[in-house]
This record gives sequence, structure tokens and C-alpha cells, in this order.
Amino acid sequence: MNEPAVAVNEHANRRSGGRLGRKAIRGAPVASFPTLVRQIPAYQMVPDEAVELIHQESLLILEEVGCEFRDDEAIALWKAAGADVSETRVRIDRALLMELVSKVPPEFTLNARNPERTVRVGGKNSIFVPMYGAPYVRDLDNNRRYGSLADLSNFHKLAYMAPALHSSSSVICEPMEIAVPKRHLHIIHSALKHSDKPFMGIVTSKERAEDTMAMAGIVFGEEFVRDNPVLVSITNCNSPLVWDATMLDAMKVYARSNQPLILAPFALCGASTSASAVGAVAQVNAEALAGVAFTQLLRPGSPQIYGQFMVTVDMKTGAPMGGTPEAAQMMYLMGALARKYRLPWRTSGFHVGSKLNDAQAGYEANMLMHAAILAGANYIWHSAGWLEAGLTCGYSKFATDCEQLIGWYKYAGGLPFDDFKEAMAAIREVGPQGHFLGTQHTLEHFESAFFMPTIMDFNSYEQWKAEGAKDHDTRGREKARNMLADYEEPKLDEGIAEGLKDLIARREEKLPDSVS
Amino acid sequence: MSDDEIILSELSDDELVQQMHDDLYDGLKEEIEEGTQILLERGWVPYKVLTEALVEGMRIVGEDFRDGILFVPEVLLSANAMKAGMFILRPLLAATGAPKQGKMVIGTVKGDIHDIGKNLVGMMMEGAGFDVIDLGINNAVEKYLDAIEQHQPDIIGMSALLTTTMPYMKVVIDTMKEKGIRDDYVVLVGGAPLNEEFGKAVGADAYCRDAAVAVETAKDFMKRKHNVRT
Ligand code: B1M
Repeated sequence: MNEPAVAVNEHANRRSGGRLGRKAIRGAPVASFPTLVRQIPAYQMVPDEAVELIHQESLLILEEVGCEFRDDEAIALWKAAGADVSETRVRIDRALLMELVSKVPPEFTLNARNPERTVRVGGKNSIFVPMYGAPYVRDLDNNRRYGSLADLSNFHKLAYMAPALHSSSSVICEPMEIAVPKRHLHIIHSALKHSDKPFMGIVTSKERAEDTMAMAGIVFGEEFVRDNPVLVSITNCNSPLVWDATMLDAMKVYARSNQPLILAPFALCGASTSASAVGAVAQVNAEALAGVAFTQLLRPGSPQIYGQFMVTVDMKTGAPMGGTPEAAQMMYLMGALARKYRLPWRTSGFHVGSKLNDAQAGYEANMLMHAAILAGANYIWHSAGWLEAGLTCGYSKFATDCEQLIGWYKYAGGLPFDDFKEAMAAIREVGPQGHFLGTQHTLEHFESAFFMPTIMDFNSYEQWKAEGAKDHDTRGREKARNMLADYEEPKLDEGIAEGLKDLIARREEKLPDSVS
Repeated sequence: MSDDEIILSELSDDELVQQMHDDLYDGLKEEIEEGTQILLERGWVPYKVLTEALVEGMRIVGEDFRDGILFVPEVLLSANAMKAGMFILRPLLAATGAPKQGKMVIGTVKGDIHDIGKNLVGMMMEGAGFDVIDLGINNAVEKYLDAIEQHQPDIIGMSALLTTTMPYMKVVIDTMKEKGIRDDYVVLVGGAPLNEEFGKAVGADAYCRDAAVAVETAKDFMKRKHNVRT
């Protein structure tokens, strides 16, 4: 056997500390990945003329049919801007619409309480964000039940630990045991306490949006949050063509503080749009543009996210579906439109309809994320946990999604050529018939060269069997359990922590215990 | 045999009823109106027309919907045809003192604008012969109370899709209790984040997981109501 010729002192440098040292390196918590800067081209599924045609039809919808804005102040703003207003119906001509839309910056910085987690959204910059809104969880014992604050905290912890997640979202699952009027305070507190990544706002009432801003003010400084994006909030258009008062109230609070909103129709295509993928896109585009334009009446130049959530309905029941081919195709169209308008664009990634983290979930997730990535999405939401069309957040699904995101992060990061020469040298070194597993090049690159999942299993059948013949769902739950056992809370300044607690206590005193 | 060769008035009673089952299945509104008129002209009592021609036809539709043979848009068309037949029969049924098919007031609760599911339930209920008053979305308790007073329904239906708005169902039911009218009505609740347990906790008579179950449950309660009364 040929001993590799290595100088003694070089040898010394290579000491990793043996077993303990290597364990420490391999076991070290992975720092978060920075913003995903896409290094692959966006794929456009239809010719430019088709994109233009849809754009023109969307403009016509807003000019001829118009869009409802069910709020007096919104109506007054539209009137003042010169739109054609009758009662709550607003018809917006294309010049006004596009002028407003063009004020939105194509990219913005989203600040995290830990500056290392600050990200950029728009252009080639993309982030992955975990799910939102689940009443139910599928828990660590595989039971389906209502979510609790303990579950929500767990998901915030997992979001913090997952390297490829860039946000903690907010209400990943609903803490059902907390009285509705007080719930939002605990949701935001959990996101801020258990993670140091960017987060999302509450939109279910003006008051709750204001509380969210007050809490953000404590963490980032009151002054800072008046102008600098620190959270993103979702306001859905009620398709077809209605922006309702609750959403408009939330928009006012956030946009006026320069906090980005996602202006996103959440369309069940076939029920709230026509049963046509291109027809649905023309409508949803009109709705989203009307929302984006409105934010520019509130604060010109404020960063915003043009968005879409489009799934088809199951005509057998009327229920929303998930990873269908049309959902993917519609993403490509929306992505092309977003690029045309130079707007940051939100879609979703892993929003499946499956009840379990099973084969259906896997197929659906892949159909959707592939499209989100290739279509060039910037704010890739519902990227962890989502099951049952958003009714359930699963621990196993969450852990699986986080692992898969590492793969997608890599995929969209493009193919590096930086070690190409060394790889070519390795071929020369090994020559015909040898193998590469022991070469210097492999040793140096194996850890980063290929995706190394731990939930997915590629062991031999015998080993898999010896380890309990566990299916993917079970392994996902184990992974979530292990991650939670290793969790360490990120530092939060004591004064800030106290400030948050004080604010919550003060607000709780004022707020009622039940809805009326 | 193609459509236009069938002349409804030339069919025997049995053939006509069969044809009406098919026409309901195909969602043919005018044909159902015509068939209903013909049977009445032939001296059928309104209740017999309702049960044997319309309700039986919709039972078949419901079965095939459940089995995945018919799809939502088709069932809505059938329900619409049924509704047209009901429109003709309703005053006659009342005048002849026939057992009531039932009347429901339904709405999405305050703070909530989700209505796709509620609309589906309303249409399916109409398809089953119920008289449905739809209050739309975002309904405060007063809206339900006003509707109860104005329409004297048998059933109050509430829908909520948000965990933040579903507790409002209890507000409505508690107010009905305070007014001493809770037990005069059947209260059915539904919406994806609800479940059986929640339905019980807020004091509803039943939780309905989907439109078909809502129809079955409503029919059941109506049957019991009639038993009590007769
Ligand atoms: C007798 O009485 C009865 C009997 C049976 C009854 C009944 C009444 N009502 C229903 N049933 C039953 O029969 C029906 C037919 O079989 C069934 O009805 P369903 O309604 O369940 O089923 C329908 C046929 C299809 N299903 C639906 O239509 C609901 C689908 C989901 C995806 C959904 C939609 C479509 C929408 N949304 Co909403 N939305 C979600 C929903 C997630 C989900 N998977 O359910 C949910 C409910 N939404 C949510 C949220 C967060 C929100 N939504 C909002 C808005 C919207 C849209 C406007 C975009 C749209 C509604 C359009 C419309 N016109 O209804 C916002 C709230 C607006 C408001 N003030 O209400 C907003 C707050 C989002 C935002 N930030 O803008 C989440 C709930 C959060 C929570 N924990 O409470 C959510 C689970 C999705 C998620 N994960 O985020 C049965 O439940």
C-alpha cells in the first residue's frame, strides 16, 4: 500500500481531536443559511405574448369590473387618487394602477433581531418560511389534536434550528387554550423568544396588528420599526375581487410603518375563480395588483410582496387540493408576471392536501416546490409543517420539510465550478478501474458535495430492518423529537424580555377573556 | 331516445316520475317544473309529488355524489332544478298541511368571511327540499335573532372557519338561551376547524362535518320533530 507522502507538521494540522473532536464538529448546531441567492435561471412556461395577454386581461378586469374595497378610508384614498369609485367598488385605470405598482421597491431587507439572520427578499433573493394558521397538529405521538402554546413554541424552536428556514412565521399552529382576544400576544411572544429569525404579523384585527407593532418596537426600537421592515404580514384578498375591512385595517397599520405585506389572493380555483388555470391567473393577478397599488396610497415606496396562493378544488367535495399540476403551472405564470412588474413575489412550497406525512405528501410537495423554485419565487411560504390543506401542522412533516429545504437551497444555489479542476485531477489520479472514495478530493469535498439527509434512509435493507424498519413518517417524528431535545434558546436582552412581558401583562389586563 | 322525443305529458305517471328522477340527475330545471305541474294537474297531492318525484330523485343524486360519480357543479345544478320544483310546491304544501320539509337560517359568524363551505351546505339543503335563508358572512348575534323572528325557521346553521371566530357560536347559542328560545330550534354548526367535541362544548345540537352530513342531520331532526308533534 502506498503511504501518502505527508509532512509531519501537516499531519499535526489535520488532527481533529480524534473521536471527541470529530463528534463536536459533526454535532455542532448548523448556523442558519444566509438568504438564498438564486443561481439558476427562472423558467418561463409560456411565451412572452401569453404573459402579456394575461396582463392585459387583468388590467381590463380592474378597469371594467373593478374591485371591492370595503372600508371608508380606503374608498376615500382611492377617490383622492383619481380612481372611478362607486360605493365600495373601485375601478382603476391602467395608468394609475401601474404608476402605483411601480413605486414598490423590487427588493428589500427584512431585519431579524439577530443581524446574522437578516435576509433580503426580491430579485434573485429568496427565503423559506414555515407554515401558518393550523388549528390542528399531528403530534410527536402521531395523534391529531388541537394545537397548544407548547406546540407553537416547539415549532418556533424547530424553525430556529432549521438551517434552511429564514423565518419563524408566527401562528404556525393555533394555541387553542389561550383566550382569543389575548392569543396574538402569546403567538408573537413565542416567535420572538424562541427564535431570532424574522417573523410574521397578526392581521385578524387592527388592534392586534397594533399590538404586534408595539412588541416589535420593544425588540427593535420604536423608532426603527417605523421605517425598517422587521416583519411580514399576510393579507388575503377574498376572491373574487373583494378586499375586506379586516384586511384593509391590517394593511393600514403595517404599510404605514413600512412593514411589508403579502398581497395574496388565496384562491380555491374553480370555486373562487373560474375553472381555468389561465383564467384564474388573470383574476388573481388583478386582485393582487389592486392590493399592491392600495398599499402605495398608504405609503408610497413601501416594500410589498405580490403574492398568490392558488390551489384547485376537488370537484368531488369542494375541498382545496394541494400539489396538482395546475397549481404548479399557475405558479410559473404568476412568477413571470412578478418579474414583469419587478415585484418581490410570494408563493408557497410544501402546501399539500395529504393527511399524513406519507407518499401523497411527498409527491405533492415535490410538484409544488419544484415549481416554486424554478418559477423564481422570493418568499417561499408554507415551507414546513403544512398538511391537510393548512388545517394541520405535523411534527414529522415539519422536520422532513426542513431537511428537504436544505436540498432545495442547494438546488437553487446552482452548480459550483470552483473545484472543477481538482475533480479533473482526481480522475487522472484514479485512472481506469479504481474508485474515488479515498481520494484527497473526495475527502475534502464529500461533506458538501452531496445532499446528506438523515430522515431519508438509504441504508441496506438489513440495516434498516435492524434499526426497527421505521417508515419515513416515524423517522421524521424522531428527528423532531431529537431536535427539540437539543434546543438551546437564543439570547434575548433581559430588558427586552422584561419589556415584552410587561406589555403582555398590561394588554391582558385590558383585553376581555372571551369574544363577544 | 334523444331528449326532444320525450313529451312529458304523454308519459304514464310511473314513467313520468322515472323521467323526473333522470331530469333531476341531469339538472334540468324547466323539465322539473313541467313535470311537477303535470303531476299536480293529474291530481297528485303536493306531498306525494315532493316525496316520490323530487326527494327520491335527489336521494339518487346524493348517493352518486357520495360515491364520486357526480361532482359538485353537477349536484348544484340538480339542487337548482329541485329548488324550482319546490318553488311551485311550497305554497301548496303549506295549504294542504303536509309535513314541513323544514326551514333553515344559515350564516357565517361574526368576524369570519369564509363562505364557500356554507354556500355548499345551503345549496345542498335546498336540493333536499329545505327552505334556506342565507344570511351571508360576518353575522353578529342580532342578525341571527332578527332572522329567527322574521322567518321562524326550524334550524339555525352556523359556519366558522377560523379558530378565532368559532367561539362566537357560543355567543349566539348563549344569547338564544338567555332569551328562552334555545330549545325551540335545532342548532347545527360546521366548518373545517370544528369537531364533534367543540359542537357539544358550545351547546349545538350537532356538528356536521360536510354538506351531505348536514342534510342528513337536518332531515333526522325534522323527522324527530314530526314524531314529537304527531
Ligand atoms: C349547518 O351548518 C353548517 C354545516 C356544515 C358546514 C358549515 C355549516 N360550514 C361548513 N361546513 C362543512 O360543510 C362544508 C362543505 O362540505 C365544509 O366547509 P369547508 O369550508 O370546510 O370546505 C369548503 C368546501 C372548502 N374550504 C374552504 O373554503 C376553506 C379553505 C381555506 C384554505 C381558506 C380559504 C379558502 C380562505 N381564507 Co382562510 N382559509 C382556510 C381554509 C383552510 C382549509 N383547508 O380549510 C383557513 C380556515 N383560513 C385561515 C386564515 C388564517 C385566514 N383565512 C382568511 C381568508 C381566506 C380567503 C378569503 C382567502 C378564503 C375564503 C374564501 C371564501 N369566500 O370563503 C383570512 C381571514 C379572513 C376573515 N376575516 O375571515 C385569514 C386570517 C388569512 C389572512 N391573513 O388573510 C386559516 C385558519 C387560521 C386559524 N387557525 O384560525 C386556515 C386554516 C388556512 C391557513 N392554514 O392559514 C364543511 O366544513
